[in-house]
Amino acid sequence: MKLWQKNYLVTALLFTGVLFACVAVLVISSARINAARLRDGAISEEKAIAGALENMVLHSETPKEAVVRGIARQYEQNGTYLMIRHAETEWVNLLAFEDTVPAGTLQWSARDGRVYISIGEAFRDEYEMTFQKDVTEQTTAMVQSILAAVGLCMLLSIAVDTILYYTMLRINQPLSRLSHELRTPLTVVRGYGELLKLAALSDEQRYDAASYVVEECDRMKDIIQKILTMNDKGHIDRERISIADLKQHLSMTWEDVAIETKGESVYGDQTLLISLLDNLIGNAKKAGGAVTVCLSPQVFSVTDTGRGMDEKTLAYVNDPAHTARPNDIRSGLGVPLCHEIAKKHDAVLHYASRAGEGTTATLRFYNSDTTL
Amino acid sequence: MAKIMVVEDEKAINDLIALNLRMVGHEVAQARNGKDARRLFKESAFDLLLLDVMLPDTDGFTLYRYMQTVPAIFVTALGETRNKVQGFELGADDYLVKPFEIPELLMRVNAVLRRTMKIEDRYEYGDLCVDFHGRTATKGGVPVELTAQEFSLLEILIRNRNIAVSRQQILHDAWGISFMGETRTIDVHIQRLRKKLGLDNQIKTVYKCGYRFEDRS
Repeated sequence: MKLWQKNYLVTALLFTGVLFACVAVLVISSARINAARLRDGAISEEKAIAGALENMVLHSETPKEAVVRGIARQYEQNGTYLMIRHAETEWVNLLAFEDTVPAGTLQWSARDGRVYISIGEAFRDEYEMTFQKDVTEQTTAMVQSILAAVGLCMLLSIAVDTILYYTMLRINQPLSRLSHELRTPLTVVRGYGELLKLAALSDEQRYDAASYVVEECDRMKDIIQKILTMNDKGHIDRERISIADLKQHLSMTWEDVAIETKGESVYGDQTLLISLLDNLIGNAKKAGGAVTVCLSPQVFSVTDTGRGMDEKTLAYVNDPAHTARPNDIRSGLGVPLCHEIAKKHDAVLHYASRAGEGTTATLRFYNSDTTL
Repeated sequence: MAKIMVVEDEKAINDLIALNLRMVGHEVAQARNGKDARRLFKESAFDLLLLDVMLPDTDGFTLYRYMQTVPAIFVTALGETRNKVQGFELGADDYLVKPFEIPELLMRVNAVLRRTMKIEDRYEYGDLCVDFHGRTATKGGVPVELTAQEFSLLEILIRNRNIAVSRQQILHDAWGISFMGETRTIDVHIQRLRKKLGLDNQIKTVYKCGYRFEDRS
């Protein structure tokens, strides 16, 4: 496992852990508060009933038993069940289930998927009352809100962890690929350097070894330039570049390349655009044949009449993500760099080619403020 | 002299390894992909394979399944343990991680060859004949008397011929001494060796590096 993957795991676990812990604390405390509220409600209701009954049995002249039964029936409608006993006689028993609760105590119980609070009460020695309240609806709502909170929490952590993973992947993958690409030229430079130092070489061998060193240094230079371009994710400074200036720059480096121009100027980063054109022209010259460059405010194109590319290679050079690299492309750093520079200019780089007939690389600017 | 196949897609590195192995007298065949490697493997017998793990058409481990009769050293830029374990499970004899040093490359190649008994036990140059097994040397058929130290020195110079060996390396590899101080005592032994064997022109002093035995004109 790579270091960044370890970092990711630790970060993701920490985040998820802290998130769940916070939610757990919130859910538990709100459940406590809710349960206490339910209990207090039940107690005050029970006290009210008990008070009323006590008052009634003391003062009422009418047959007490019938009145008590009537009151109990009324309460039953609201999900409150009562059992009232006078001495050994049960006046009324509408309890949802038989449950004897000692006087002055409260208990929670669950029967057949419903939740009840039961309170036992005794007054004036001869009266006993059991109060039962159905709180299923309230507790169900509570459980649902807990589940919803946990579910939301899971969704959130999955989303954040995924975003985090892809962000870290995007930051780290090009870096590890680039550092891997640096290792080959390093091996070459080190190896040939050592060979020059230690071995008895013929003139030809010495020349070849030194050439390898120089060549691989150029390759490392390219890689470093690419790292700099890739790392600089921000916007580039766009300035007005005169097309005539561009042409002059290019013709200094590429003496035998025909350059046609149209229009006045383009907007962009001059260094990056020249680097891109250098890359395109360099590749075109490597393909052999005559190279023509065409510069206009909307489109840059580089055409060669060289050997062209097969479909596999063409698909590779046209893919800015350049995932699968065909075997015959050696360094493959120039093309991704060109795509990166194009992207920074809101432009698209496209290659068209036919094996044996040549290649045209077209850079088309899409953003209106890039062109003039 | 052993016959060695180098399989590495990067031409510069392939050439580098091959050049070094040829310097010290090995015969080298070069392949840059799995297909060529398999063809070469069928065509001739090798004493040792140097396999890159990442090849364009296959990987070194898969390739080695076809060639397990021959000892192999894997050359790789991946220093990860997972890959090492995979290689050793297949019977790899050693590992070389890029970027590597030339003395390290030669040392590992020699070590594997010595283990698999493929290392040369005789060396001849002109009328000089060195028998590494019997630890004797003859010049024009006449035995030359060498001390054990002188013989070890001669052996390391010949085993690394055409490549300079540092004084440190001589002390360490030939005499088993890890000595960080004055290494000039070696110069005396070199002088004696040159005189006894008449190798004034072959054992060269290399500026700031050490000594080099040259058998090419």
